[in-house]
Parts: sequence; C-alpha cells; structure tokens
Amino acid sequence: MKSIKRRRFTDKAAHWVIKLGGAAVIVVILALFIFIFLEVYPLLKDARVIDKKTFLLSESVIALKTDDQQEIACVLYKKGLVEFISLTDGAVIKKHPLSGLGNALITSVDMADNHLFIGTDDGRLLTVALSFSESFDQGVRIISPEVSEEEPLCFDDQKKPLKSIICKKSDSARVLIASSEDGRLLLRATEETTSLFGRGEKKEVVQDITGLISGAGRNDAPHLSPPDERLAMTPAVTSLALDHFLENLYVGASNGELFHFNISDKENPYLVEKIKASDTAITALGFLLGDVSLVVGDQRGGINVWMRVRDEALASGWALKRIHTLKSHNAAVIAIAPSFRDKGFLTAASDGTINLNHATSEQTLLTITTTAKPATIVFSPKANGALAVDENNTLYLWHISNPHPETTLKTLFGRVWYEGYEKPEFVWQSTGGTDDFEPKLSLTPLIFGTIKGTMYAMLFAVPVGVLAALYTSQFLHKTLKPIKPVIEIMAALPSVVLGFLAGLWLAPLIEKIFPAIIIFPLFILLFISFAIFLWNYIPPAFKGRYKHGAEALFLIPFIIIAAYVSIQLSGYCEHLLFSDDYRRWLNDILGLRYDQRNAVVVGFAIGFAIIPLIFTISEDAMNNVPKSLISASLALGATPWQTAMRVVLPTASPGVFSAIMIGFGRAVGETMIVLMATGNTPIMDWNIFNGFRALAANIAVEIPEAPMGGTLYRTLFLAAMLLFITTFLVNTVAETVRQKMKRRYSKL
Amino acid sequence: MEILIPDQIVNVINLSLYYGKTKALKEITLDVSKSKITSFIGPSGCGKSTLIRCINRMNDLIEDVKIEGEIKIDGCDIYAPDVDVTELRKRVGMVFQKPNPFPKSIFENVIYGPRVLGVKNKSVLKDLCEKALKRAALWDDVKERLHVNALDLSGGQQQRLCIARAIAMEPEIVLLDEPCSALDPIATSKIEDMLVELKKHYTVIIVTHNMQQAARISDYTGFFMLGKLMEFNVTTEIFTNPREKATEDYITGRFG
Repeated sequence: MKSIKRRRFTDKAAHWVIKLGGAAVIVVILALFIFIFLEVYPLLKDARVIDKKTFLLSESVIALKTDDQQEIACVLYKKGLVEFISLTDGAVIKKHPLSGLGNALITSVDMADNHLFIGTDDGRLLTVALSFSESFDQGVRIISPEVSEEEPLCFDDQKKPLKSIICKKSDSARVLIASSEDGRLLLRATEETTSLFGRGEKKEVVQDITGLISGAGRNDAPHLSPPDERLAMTPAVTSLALDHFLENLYVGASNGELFHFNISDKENPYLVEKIKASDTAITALGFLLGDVSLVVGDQRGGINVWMRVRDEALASGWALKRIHTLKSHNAAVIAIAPSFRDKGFLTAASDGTINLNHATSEQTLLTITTTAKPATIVFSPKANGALAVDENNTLYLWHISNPHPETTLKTLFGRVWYEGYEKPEFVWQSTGGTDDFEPKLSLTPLIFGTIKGTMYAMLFAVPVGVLAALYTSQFLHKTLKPIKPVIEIMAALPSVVLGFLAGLWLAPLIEKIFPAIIIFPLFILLFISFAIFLWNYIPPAFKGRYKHGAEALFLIPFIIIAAYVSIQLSGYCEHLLFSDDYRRWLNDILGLRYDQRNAVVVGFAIGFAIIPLIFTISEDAMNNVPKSLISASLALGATPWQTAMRVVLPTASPGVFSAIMIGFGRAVGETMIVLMATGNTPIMDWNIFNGFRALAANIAVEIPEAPMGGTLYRTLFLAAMLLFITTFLVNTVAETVRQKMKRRYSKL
Repeated sequence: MEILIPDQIVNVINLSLYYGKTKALKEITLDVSKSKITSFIGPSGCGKSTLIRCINRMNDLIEDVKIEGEIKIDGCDIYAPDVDVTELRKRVGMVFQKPNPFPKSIFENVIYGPRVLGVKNKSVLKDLCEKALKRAALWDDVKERLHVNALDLSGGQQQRLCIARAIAMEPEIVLLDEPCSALDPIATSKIEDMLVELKKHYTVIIVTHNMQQAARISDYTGFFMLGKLMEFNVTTEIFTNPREKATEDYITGRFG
C-alpha cells in the first residue's frame, strides 16, 4: 500500500514539475516580449503636458524668452520695460526700463541668441543683450539676469514704424532687415574685415530693397514709374526670415507669395525665386533648426514646410518645394517658434490654439490653448516646455514631455523627405557630425538588408544542405556515414569565427580570384563528366575498391583539379571575359558596383553556418522514410535516383520544410557574420556584389551610439521586436505546417 | 520427386544464397508455370520470402548477400552481369507483406510505374490506371475518389491498390510476399478471388503462411523448411498425398 501511495505522489510531483517548467518557458517568452514592447511603445506616443502654470502680467507683452531650466522668463513689455519673472512663483526678479527707447513704442522684436532687436514706431532699432549668470551660494544655484543696451540706431530715414524686423549675426558681419509700415523693405548690413594687424575696416551697406519685391528681380530695374506707384503695386510684406549664413532672405507677402532673395552680396541682392506659397496671405515665417527648412503659416491656418530642392530644370539648379504639410489651424497663424533641439516647432493661431508640430514626421503632437489671442510664444531651449503670453496679459508655461517627436510608423517604415534630400527616401543614418543633424531612422533598409542576406544565404544553403542530406541518406555507403556527425560539428562553430574568416580571408580571396569563381561551376561540371566517362572504362578490379555508394571519393580529386584549373585560368579568363578588369566590366556593362565585402561573401558564410542545420534535420527526415516505400518504388522499376526524387524527398518534405525554416530563422537572426562580412551600409540594392546592413547587425553596431531611453535606443528595441516576431512567426508557421504534413503521413 | 511443369517461365536452378556466412537457401531447384499460381509455404525463417525476393533481385539492396546458382526467366539468367535490374523489375512486379502505398493520391500510386518509365500522356495514364484498378478489383471502390490520399483507404483496399500498382506496369510475373498476413478474413478472401482472376493475365508467385490459402488458390505448391525445398508439386497432390513426412506434419499442423 505504501508503495502505491508513493508512486502516486511521485507521479503527481512529476506532473506538476513538468507543468511548471512548461508554463515557466511560456511566461519567460511572454515577459521578454512584453519587456521589449514596453521599451518600444513610447516611440509612438504623442507629447503630453506634464504641468501647466499661468501668471497674470500687468501690461501687454511683445516678446518673451526663457532660460534653459525654465526657471526665469524674460518679458518685454510694449511700452519698453524688460522684466525677469520667476516661473516658480511669479515674483519679479529684476526690472529694466529701456532707456534708449525714449518716448517711442515698440512695434517689432526679433530674438537671436541672447539679443533682442527691437524696432520702434519712429524707425529706430535698439539692440539689447540679455544674459543669465549662474552662481552658487551654499549649494543653491542663483541665476542673476543682466541687461545691457547698445546705442539706438536710426534704421529708417523716413522714421516710419518698423512693422517687422529680423537680425542675424555672424563672427564678422551683421545683417538687419526690416519692413516699414508703409511697405518698404530695408536692409542694413555691417561687415568688419579684420586683418592680421589689429582692427580692419568696417563696411556698412544701407539699402532700400523694396524694388526686389515690386520689380522683376533686380533692385534697380524698373525706374520708369515713380516710386510711389511702384509702392502701390507692391504686395505688403507680412513676415521675414533670414538664415544664419546671412545669405537667404525669405519674405512672405499678403498675396500669398513667398520671395526668396540671395543677399550674400549685400550691395547687389537679387531675387532667386518667387512662388505662390498660399492662396491667402502668408502670416508667419520661421526657420527650423539648421536654417534650411522654412515653415510658412498663412491666413487660413495652413502650415507648410518648404525647402530648396535640387532641380536640374531650373537655371539656379534649385527650386523651392513644399516638402511637408502639417495639420492646419482654424485661424490665421500668427507666430512660429522652432525648437532648438530637433525639427519640431510651435505654431500659434489667432484663435488661441498652439500646436506642437514635428516637420519631418508631419505630426502634430500636442494642441494647447490660451484663452485669448496669443501675443507671443517661445519654445524652451531644451524643447521640453512652451511659453506664451496672450492679449489678456496672461503668461502661460507648459512643461511638455515630448521624448520622440520624430517617430511615426511612417518615418520608421515609409519614405520620408528629409532635409537636403531630393525626394522622399528610406534612410537609416542614426548619427551625424553636427548639432543640427537629424537622425534618420527608417527600418526599411535594414529589413531589406536582412531579407537580402537571408535570401542569398538560403540560395546557397538550401540546395547544398538538402541535396547533401539526400545523398547521405540514400546513396552514401554506410562506412562513410560518420560524415554526418562531422558536419554537425560545423554547426557548433561560433559565428564570430565564421564572420572573421569570411570578412578577413574569404572576402579578399573572392575579390582576388573572382573570375575563377565564375568559371568554377563550369569546370566542375566538365571534370565530373570526365570522371563519369572514365568510370566506364576503368577495370572492375579497381572499381571494386569503391564500394557501392562510395564512388564520391573517386570524384574528390577531380573537383580539386577543377578548382585548381579554374584558379590558374583566372587571369586568362578575366582577360577574355571581362576585358582585363572585372570590376570595371561589371560597372560598365552590368552597372554593378563591386564591394569587397558583399552579399556573395555573406551568402557563403551564413550558408556555411546554416548548412549543418538544414543538412542534419533533412537527413534525419529522409532516413525516417519507411524502407517499405523505397522497396516498393524500386520493385516498380524506378532507379534509385527516381526513388529519391519521387518518394524519399516528398515523403520527407515535412522534415525538409522545417529544416529550411529553422535555417531561415537562423539566417534572419545572424549577427556576427553579417556584421563582419559586409560593409554594413544601409543601402537598398539587390546587387549581389554590394554590402547591406541587417537588423541584427544594426543593433550590434548602434548600441554604443544609443543613450538609454533615446529615440535610437527604442528604435533598436523595435528592430529587436521585429526580429523576435519574425522568428516567432517563422517557427510557428514551420511547426504548424510540419504538424499538418506529419498528420498526413502519420498513417505510413 | 521431379515433376514435369508445363509451360515454364521461371527456372530456379541449384540456387544457394548466403547472408554473410549463413546459408539461407540451399540448392533450390524449381520451375514456375506460366499463367498459374505457384505458392511457397513453410514455417517462419524457411527461406521462402528470400527466394521470392531473388526472383526480382530485391536482395541486391541487402549488404553481404552472395548468390550461387541461376534463376532464368524466359531462359535468360537474371544474375548475368549485363542484366539491367530496373528492366528486370519492370517485368517482375512485387507486392509486399504490409501494404505500402506511397503517401500520394490513389491515381498517382497506380501510375507510379508508368510515370517512372516516362509515360506522360494523361489519357494513357488514365486508361492504365482504370485497367489496373479493375483487375485488382478496386475500381468500384475508388472510382469516385481517385485523387484521395491512398493512406485514407482501408488495409485491404491498400493492399489491392499495391497489387494494382504492380500490375499497372504490365509485368509478366507478379510476386506476392505474404500479401494477406496483415489483413482480416474478408479482405483476404477478396484478394484471393482477385488473384484467381489475375492468373489469366499474369504468372503469380505467392508466399503464404496460410496453408488453406495455398490450397484454395494455387496450382503448384512448394514446401520449404530450413532453407531447403522439401517438396514441390501440384497443389492437390501436396495437400492430399504428400510424399515427405515433414510436409505431412506441417500441413496437418503438427508443427509450424
């Protein structure tokens, strides 16, 4: 009785331990998937407001600025007072009335770096420098703002109010552009040429460039009609944008036209292009980070991003093109504030809506509202907050969480029109040399690379693996069967060794004897035919030494000779077939570029890694084909070859199929070989002589570049998830098909 | 004990067979008559299956088999060096102990032989299939479902399918190696009826464990024991008037 109880207990215990083990495996896989998913998920989340604060100000504000930490806001009141306000409690830290303003009113402001350029209603310009100096007092950081004014400058001789103003500085030059209320466009450029010996000359150009807008192009062209008439024809200037190269000036007009001037020669600025950017008036212009893409906002609320794109049809070789369209506002766009971190920007409309957009991904991530029409908006320097003041004199501060504005499914998998590109493309380029570099994270080239590598590897490995298995299981003499474990040992070879060999030995070798590789199959066929011919004539006594199924040994010397001969003939063949230089021949005749580390090398190397897998599993499956079927086929007069092809292969097909699928799974996930044997160039080209970059290798390559939690980091996790899903799907499909086929053959 | 066999098609002359060093067949001599059923009976391991497998050289597949003596079909030695084995097997069809249809459709199974020979014409293949299935008395069972997987048939049907597959080749001789040992009595009787029909067209050689079966269907019977042919005669003679003591003991069930 005791023993029965004990057996039952053992049985139960074993039952539960096994169940637990099985469940644990599923849980671990699920947990892995969930972990990866949680890392990927934030990529596609929209931005959100973490915290919102409002402060009531005393008067109407015209300009706004904040420090890096969003602790202090600097506001410029219309009547000429600079005030620093603590954004924690709203207390005024410092006030500075602008002494240079006198009795005039501020009509326009441009902010650049730490300067305020203020245009007044009497045509003067004030330059105010702001700075925040930090000091530490007993571990507490104290920020003390400083204000310093420069001497006011008389900008407009006619002393008309300056409606809008823009100023950009470089090391030695400064360009000011302003439009006056009566429609004139004024340019003032100062340039300092410093020589080796101290101060050089200072050159100043002051010009009225209104003619550029009204005239056909040259400033001085239409002198026929009096200036007043010209002015009447001129569309009103509504907004200005100047890049930091001090070269490209964009002017938006009330009739929807966008003018592009080249002002690199300050004395002779000229019109490069004029396009109709909108049906209604252009109301706001602003450069994105990098000063290349221009955001254009119009009267109806439309927001478009324009860029100069190479166009051979035009004389200048460049044409302004609309590359992105963002979600429209319902009212006129009144202000555009770019991010200092990425291609994001804020747009404010007169109905009080403020959108947070990202140009490249064409998404509007967040919409926030003010109660009245916004007077001014600003993006915080770290792109993690927005400030606005509306016409009710309320100052708003939004702390924004916006970690991955640049990713959408479209940017990850679709064609994206990046800055500087001629058309939308699939690009993977995660890091660049400059601060305003925009990461380009399209997974499509990597998926393409994975497919390409896998395909070439399978092309090589499947025929070799399956046919070798067929030969071993059906034809090989049993004394030679130990070859199977030897091939299985190949599978244990670390892929880094294979990659190393492929990259450092095979790739240069193939490059060297490329013509030989091309003619090698031909010579193999030739020599094997010769061997078979010879076989018929050699005496039976000699034949007897090769038992039935061991004739392959007889072939080995012929194959070696074939390889030797083709290598010897390599140079001659290159001369004959490829007119002395196969690289040039490939390039000229077939249009294929030859890289040393290319898909052929990878195909060989990955193929080498997966052949043992395919071989072993297929061989087992073929060995398990019932002998009775083989006998039946042979008894029906089929030759051993017919039997192998018509009975063994179809009957073993479930096993062969799963062998191929497992090989496929391994090839897709292969990392080291691809990493070492290709150039890892994320290009999309089926050319077999090019390299590529695969998803798995990409993860390995990019890990050092990816700060935790960043967009690249999460994109790499997405790549991992894709690989995980692919492997999961492939294995599931393989297993389902195998089970289905197995059921079909189970009655054997 | 020599008897005269009319219309001889197969002559086994002094045939010995060795598995390595074991002598499995010992100096066997017998003749098979055309368009008759010849059955081989005997206890397990007596060599009757080995002998039948010699007639289409299926023993070639086994390592270390050595054959002495001759087997002649229509007067030609089938072990001569210039004989094409596949050609021989086309003339001598074989049905195995366990039904072994290919995991293909019924149609594909039957026409496997002609296909292998290179017949591609669909209508020819269809005719061949119908004829073979009719001769194997399977046509009425399966004519509606020729494209069903052969493994879905019952055991008896599968065995008849294997016979149809063998005779679709139009062989001269059909070898059956205990074709009914895995079947129930009803299926067995169907196959027996069919075999009797078959002998109109083919020479049938059957190995059987079942003495009643041999008695019921065969014209000639050979009794084997320990690799030796003990007695070979017209079936009725063997069963009613055995010359050897061992034969009598075996058929009356004293051993075996």
